[in-house]
This record gives sequence, structure tokens and C-alpha cells, in this order.
Amino acid sequence: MKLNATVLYLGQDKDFFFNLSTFCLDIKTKALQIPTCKRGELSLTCLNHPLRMIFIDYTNPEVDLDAIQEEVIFLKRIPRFQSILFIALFSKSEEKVLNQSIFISGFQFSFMKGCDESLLFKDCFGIVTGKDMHHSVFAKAENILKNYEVGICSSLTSISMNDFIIESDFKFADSLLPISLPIFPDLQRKYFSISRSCSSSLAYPMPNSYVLELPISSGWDSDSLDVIQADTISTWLDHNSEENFKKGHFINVLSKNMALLPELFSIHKDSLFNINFNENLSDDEMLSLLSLSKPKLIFIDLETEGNNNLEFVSKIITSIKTIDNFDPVIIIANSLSTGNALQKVLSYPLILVTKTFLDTPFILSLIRSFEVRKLKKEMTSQSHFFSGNDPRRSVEVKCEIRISSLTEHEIVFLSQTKLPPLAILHFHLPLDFNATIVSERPENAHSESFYYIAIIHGMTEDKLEILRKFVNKIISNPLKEFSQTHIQEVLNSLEVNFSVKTDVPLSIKKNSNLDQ
Amino acid sequence: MTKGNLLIVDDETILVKRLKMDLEDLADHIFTAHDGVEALKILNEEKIHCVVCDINMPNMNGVEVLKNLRSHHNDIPFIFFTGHGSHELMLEAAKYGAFDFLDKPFFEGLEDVITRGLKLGFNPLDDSTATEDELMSEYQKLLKNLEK
Repeated sequence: MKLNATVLYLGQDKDFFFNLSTFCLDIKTKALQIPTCKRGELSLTCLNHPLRMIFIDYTNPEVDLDAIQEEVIFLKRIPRFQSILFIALFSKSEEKVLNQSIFISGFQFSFMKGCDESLLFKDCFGIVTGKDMHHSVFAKAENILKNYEVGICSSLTSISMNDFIIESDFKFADSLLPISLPIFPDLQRKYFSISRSCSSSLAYPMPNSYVLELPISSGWDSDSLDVIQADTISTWLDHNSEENFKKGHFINVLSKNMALLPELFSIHKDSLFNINFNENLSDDEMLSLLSLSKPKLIFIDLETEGNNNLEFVSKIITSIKTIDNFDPVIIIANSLSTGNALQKVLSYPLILVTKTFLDTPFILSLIRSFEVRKLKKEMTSQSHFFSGNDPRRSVEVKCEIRISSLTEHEIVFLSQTKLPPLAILHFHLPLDFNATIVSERPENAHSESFYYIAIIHGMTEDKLEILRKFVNKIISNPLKEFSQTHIQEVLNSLEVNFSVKTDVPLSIKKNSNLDQ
Repeated sequence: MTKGNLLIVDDETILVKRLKMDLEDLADHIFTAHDGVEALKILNEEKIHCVVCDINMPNMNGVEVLKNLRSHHNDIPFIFFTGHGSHELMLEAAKYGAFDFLDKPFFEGLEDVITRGLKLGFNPLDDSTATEDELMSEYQKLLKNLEK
């Protein structure tokens, strides 16, 4: 079997790269190493090589974790790079530093160095090729058939006085989203109303964005744990006010010139703006993006024959006019007509035109001018944007599943809700672990439920041993319920010094449809 | 100082005469045409530095004249007269490179637009060097408008 693409290792671990190269050689795949990574170098490498898999070694002391994570976020939002599998390699030293936010920043797999590398390679190649790469047999606890509420890793992107924005792989059809909001621990509400949903990401590499209403107390219900006081929100925003203006504003760049990427990322990193880069967008995607992100500046490399033509610009402007308090400056590059002409034909005064194609010095000069003149005047504490590595960004959309089987390597479960491929799920039982969905099949020809296989990853050897023992134990002594009490009993019997998390809400719903 | 040659194209004869009189100080020579075919003939035979053209004319409209000109790699500024219902034509014209659009019958800013058009048509190389400063200046004006 051959993977018609290149695998990249970003790190300095010679042994790891040797093992990776050897594995790649066996399957006739090219492996590439970059020992250190300057800003923009990852983007450049992605442009120059047909990369399908990127291992980023966080144990490398020269790796700037924040910068790399930002660049991965930047790249994974661009459609042509969305199929690249990003894997984070770390050790115990980085375990606490690498928070859950990496799984909502474009990483879809993780690995604790020191564990079985060949299994890692087989799992990753299996994910990208769709083939079952390994034949290891793990002890399996089968026929568990117990309900469980799993968390789908999602991003809390921003919060304002009345609402907050979530980005997720999960496409949710209902009007209420089951989610926990840890930044307000006293708010016990489990379901939040969706006021708007968009099939495009706002700032992070997830295809769905939801604007959710904050349940503000009306006064008479101030004792309820299902609502939040307006004062609480405004105090929180004031407390975080210094960070509020950073990255809370957006710029769109629409161009097919991928060579802009490395420098554009650099601008994105240093700027107060969040820069969204797209090669092209459908009309629906553009409208969604405009209404959600309300970019201050929109750069468009005009095409005569492609999608980014004057008709498309005309549609953008029509959409802009439907959105309240939204007046972006539109910069049209590669235009044969003058700014005056386009302002009149498009009936929009805030148009700037250049005859040449977009280049980064031009983009940078306009951004800088805008920052100096406009942006700093708009610093408010009315909303907060969560930056890429902010651990508070990590939230979980809840989903009820029925666990079918469990090994130390994978978990198989049934779900009535269709789940996205490669979504990262967060389990809290019997200990915290993440699992990536790698396979889906319908339960049967007549059912609307699906069986999923999710590979467990990123575990230390110690935790793997606990999980292994747990699985072996429940093979011979099946659990009556996946409850905190029952699991703690099993762990106690294993003489393992480990406690099930007490702050995790368990949801064992009787008479659930999954029981049928 | 040489100002360049202007071509006025419109099927309204009286309008063309009036404009020729009003604009005679702006150009070295003003040519006139009453339809697209005549305009193309003049463009082929004379050195024209700027065109002012009605966008909506019978037989051959202003956009078709523009397309023809551009297909021969002639990039001189093209100013259109527009009226009610010519939005589709304006969009089409913009794809091929329009300098400006002026509404009939008031032609607000006509002299200024033609002066700039002639200047650009006569000194096209100036366009690239002046552009960056003008662009930033225009940008600052837009930002200032945003503050209002």
C-alpha cells in the first residue's frame, strides 16, 4: 500500500524520525523532517509538498507552542489543507501545558512519547487511508450496552453580554444545544437556545458555528441555577477587558494566490485582527461568514473567469447591506476599473481599488493604518474573543451514546445522532481520555442510528495500564451501570490509586431510545 | 501644455454639440461620434486619449465599444454616461475597465472626471508611480468617512 503524499515530522527526535521513516519506507511513502520551525515555515512546507500527515513534536524545546498552534489553526481553516491529519507528540512534561484546546485547533490525534510508536503509525495511516493497518488484538469488553453522555470537543470562540459563539465539528439540527459553560461554573443550565447557526467557521477550524443566547436573569428568577445575572457577565468581561480587543475583529482575504499564506500568517500572528483566508466561497458561505464575523476589511483578488468576479462582489455588497451596523472597507485588487467606477456600479462608497494583484506588503500597510486609526478606538469590554491556546475555549457539546465495547485502544458505540468523521470525543470514565472517530456504519438497513469506532489516544503508560486493568476486570465482571459509584468500585478492586472525577455530570437516562 | 484628445460618443446629436462646446478648453482636440461604429472608426484612425460614451446606444452600445477597444489592448480611460436602468450594462462595463460613470442629464463632476481621464490617458506611466500614494490617501479618506 502506498500513500501518494508526504508525511512531515516537525521536531528534532532522531529516533522518532528514524522509526517513522522506516515505517514510511515499508509502505512506499515519503517522510520529511523539519527540525525547527520558523514562523510561516509550516505554511510554506504545506504549499510545497503534498502533505497528508504532520507530526508536531512538542517535546522539542525550540517549538513555540502558541505560534505553532496558531499556524495550525490558520492552515486547517483553508479547505485545501483540511484533509491533513495533525498529530501532537508530547511527553509528561508537556501534558499539563498542552490543554484540550489543541483538539479544537486542528489537531485530530495525540501521542504520548514512550508508548508504542508502531501502533501510532498504524492508527494514523489507517485514518488517512481508510484501511485497517494493524492486527494487534486487545482485550475487549464486549456487550457493554450502557448509555453514556460523551462530550464532543468544541470551541467557545467569543462571549458578549447577551450571547456566546460556539464552533464545532458537530452539525446540530435542533434549536437547543446541549453544552456546558465552565467559565460560569454556577450556571447549571445544560441546554442553550441557538439564535443563529452558520455552516462556516468563524475563527477556528470547525465547519459549524452557533450563536447561543445567554439565559440572563429577569430578576424574579435570580435564585435559579439555570440563569445568570447580567452583572456576572459584565464583571467577567470587565475582568478580561485587557484581552477583549485582541483578535476580536476580523479581516477576510479572498484570493487564489496561495503564495500569500506564509506572510499572511505572520501578519495574522502580529495583528490585532483575525485574518480569514479563502480561495473561494459559495454565496451561502460568504453570507454566513459576513454576518457572523463582520470583517472590518475585505480583500478580494478579482477574477474575470473564476468565482471571485464582480457579480460575486455585487452579491457580497447586497449581503452587507442587509446586516445592521456593518460597513466594511472592500479592497478590490486586480481591477481594470477605477475605485470611483466600482463605487458607483456597486452602489457602495467604501471601495478601494488597485490594478495589481494582492500582495502582503499592501495588505499589511492597510491593516496597520486601520489599526492605528480605527481599531484602538473601538476597544470595549462588551465582548471577549478567546485566543487559540486559551484553555477556557475548550467546551463540550454533549451527546448521548450507547457504549458497545471497549479496549485500551478503541471504543465502539452506537449513536442516534450522526457524528462527524474525525471528531474528537472526550470521555471522563473511567479516567479522562480523548478518542477520535475513525469509522461509521449504520446500525442496520432500517435504523437511523450509527455504530462508531473511536481510537483512544494521548494516554500515558500509567493511564493505559489503568484502562487495561479496567477493561480486563469488566470483561469478567460486567458493570451494571456506567455510574461513578460502580466504576469507582472497580477501580478500588484493582487497587489503583485513582478517583473518578466527582464534578462530571453523569447522565444515565432510563427509557432512552438507545435502550430499545 | 498638451492636454490630449477626447472622443465624445452619443446618439443624441444636440447633447454631443453642447458637450463639445462646454469641454473645448479641456482637450487639444475633441472628436465626436453618434454611434459605436463611428466611434471605433475614429479610435482606429486618430490618437484618442480619453473616451466619453453613452452606455446605452442603439446597434452598438457603449460596452461593446469598450470591449472592442480592450480586445485591441487599448487601455485608455473610458467614461460612461448612464441613465435609469443601465445597471446591468454598468456591471458589464466595469469588467472591462471603466474609468467612471456619470449620470445623465446632470453630469455632476464632468469636467473634473474628464480632466483626470485625459491626464491618465496621456501619461499612462504616471499611473503606476502615483498609485501607491494616491491609494493610501484615498484609503485614509474612506477611514475618515467611517468615523462620521
